[in-house]
Amino acid sequence: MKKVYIYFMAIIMFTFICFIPFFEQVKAIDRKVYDEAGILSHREVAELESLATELGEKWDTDFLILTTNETNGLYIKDYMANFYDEKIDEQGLSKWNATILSLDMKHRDVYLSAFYKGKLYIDEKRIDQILDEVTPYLSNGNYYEAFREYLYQVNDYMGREPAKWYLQWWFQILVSLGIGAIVVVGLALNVGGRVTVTSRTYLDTKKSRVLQEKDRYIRTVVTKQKKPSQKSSGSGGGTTPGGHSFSGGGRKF
Amino acid sequence: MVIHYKCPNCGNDMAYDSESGTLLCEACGTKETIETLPEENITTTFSEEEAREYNCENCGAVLLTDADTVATKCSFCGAGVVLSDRVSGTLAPSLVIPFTISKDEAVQAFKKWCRNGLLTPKGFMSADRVKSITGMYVPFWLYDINSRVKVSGTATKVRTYSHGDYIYTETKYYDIFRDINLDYLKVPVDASAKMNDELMDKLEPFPYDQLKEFKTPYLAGFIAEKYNYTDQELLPRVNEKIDSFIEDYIRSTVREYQTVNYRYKDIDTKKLKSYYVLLPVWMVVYDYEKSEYTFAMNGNTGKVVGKPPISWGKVASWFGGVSVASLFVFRIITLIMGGGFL
Repeated sequence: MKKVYIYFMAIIMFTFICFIPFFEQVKAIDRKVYDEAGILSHREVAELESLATELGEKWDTDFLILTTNETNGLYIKDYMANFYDEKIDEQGLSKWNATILSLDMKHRDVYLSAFYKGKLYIDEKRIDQILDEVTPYLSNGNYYEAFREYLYQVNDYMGREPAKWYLQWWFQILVSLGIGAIVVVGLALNVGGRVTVTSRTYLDTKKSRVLQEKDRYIRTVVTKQKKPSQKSSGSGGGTTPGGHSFSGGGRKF
Repeated sequence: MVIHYKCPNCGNDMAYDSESGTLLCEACGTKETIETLPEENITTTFSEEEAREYNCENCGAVLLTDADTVATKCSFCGAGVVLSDRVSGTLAPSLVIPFTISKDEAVQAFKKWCRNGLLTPKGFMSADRVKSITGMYVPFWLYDINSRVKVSGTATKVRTYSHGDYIYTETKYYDIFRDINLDYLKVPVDASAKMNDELMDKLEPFPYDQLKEFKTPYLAGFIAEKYNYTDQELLPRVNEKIDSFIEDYIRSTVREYQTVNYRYKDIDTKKLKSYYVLLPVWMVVYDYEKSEYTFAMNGNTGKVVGKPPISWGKVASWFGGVSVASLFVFRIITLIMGGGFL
């Protein structure tokens, strides 16, 4: 009994040790606000910088703000993707936890995206909820307030459980109890000995066989069903040209 | 009629020894093979009132038997005796598998089995309260069965693929027919009313390569019973037993289809042969907290069956331990994916 426990713990510790190399520290980028469109004052930029740094540090994730007047004909999502690839190369990272709120001032598009750890906590549904809060400020031209709201919103979601249901406590506790119950019931059922004969134990394999079989094809029935429609390309996440996948969502403001 | 085996060397009682497969005299160590024991050492007497009373050949005391007993030990002097008229005529077993596990080995095997009980209470695991352990030849019927199976029905193969904006589900229908011959050899069914059927089923399989032609000396020193049910009476039980085997086989012949709807299933099962055999079982009676627990052990393979007491404390600790450990693993996975441990 004790031995079983010791083996069990040893296996768990071993898996733990095996995965330690994956816990690499992700460096934070120094600059968080890229106001290429020039819609913020120097003081606002400085305040947003310090707020983004303060909030992002806790979650090992950089909360970025990107504004531009000229996307060179690209949709803001693709512009943001190029920006991410450029910055991750500059830092020489393979993984960079980040969320980016991007504004295209010319076309009045807003796009929110989340990478790696950010993506784990902020999925498309949560992005929609954040944009619901942020967009009214943008529409009123209240950019500073909008960015503050974005930072607090993202900070709030990062402090919750991961967006995926199978990474959440309620689900994992439920499944763990289920596994415990299955193991105990299995042990209890086998406690008095199991039937170990199978359907082949007493079968005379020399004489037992299919004497005759017929398989006659009758007809084929084909039914068709329309594929569930995919989301329009403007919204939803994607992958950067550099191969980093992200969750995302955008709209007009 | 009572048979008693006397040692040709010293005159003491002889009993069957599972290690050597011979009759053994415990007093002087003489071993006699079952085929060569001199006739004059086998005392056979007919009793007048056969069904009622038998007298021990060794000491003359009245043997305490019930109507099913075939072999027993004299409760007065301990000599192993066989009531031979109960193993002759229509009651003669055709085959027997002698014990290959001795009493000491049986006790050891039982203790080992108790130690491995994951849910049994601590006091039970020590296995120090074995009340009695009895070597017993249990009457079984072995059946050779032939089944001719004819089934027909409609089966489907389903394939899905997508083309353009649509997902297509293609279902192909087939008319199928199978004519199968199935032979099952030596399917055992216990023929003793005293033995729990479920317990005896779990004792299987017995090693049929050790089947021997029946000779009474194999029973010397053990308890044996005669059958309570004839092979005809137990035929429904063997049919019930092989029903699931047949279903399994039918299923294996239509494995390439996703669904099968049977129009008819014609299963014609015949008994080809039946053998009356005695199979070796150690019966262990165990005392634990004022209750008696009965276990049966296969006398050849050492497999133990029976319901031991269950410790709710252990059930709870297994449930808790496994649940906590699983949750721990899930949290580590979550942590690795970047989701935090707590």
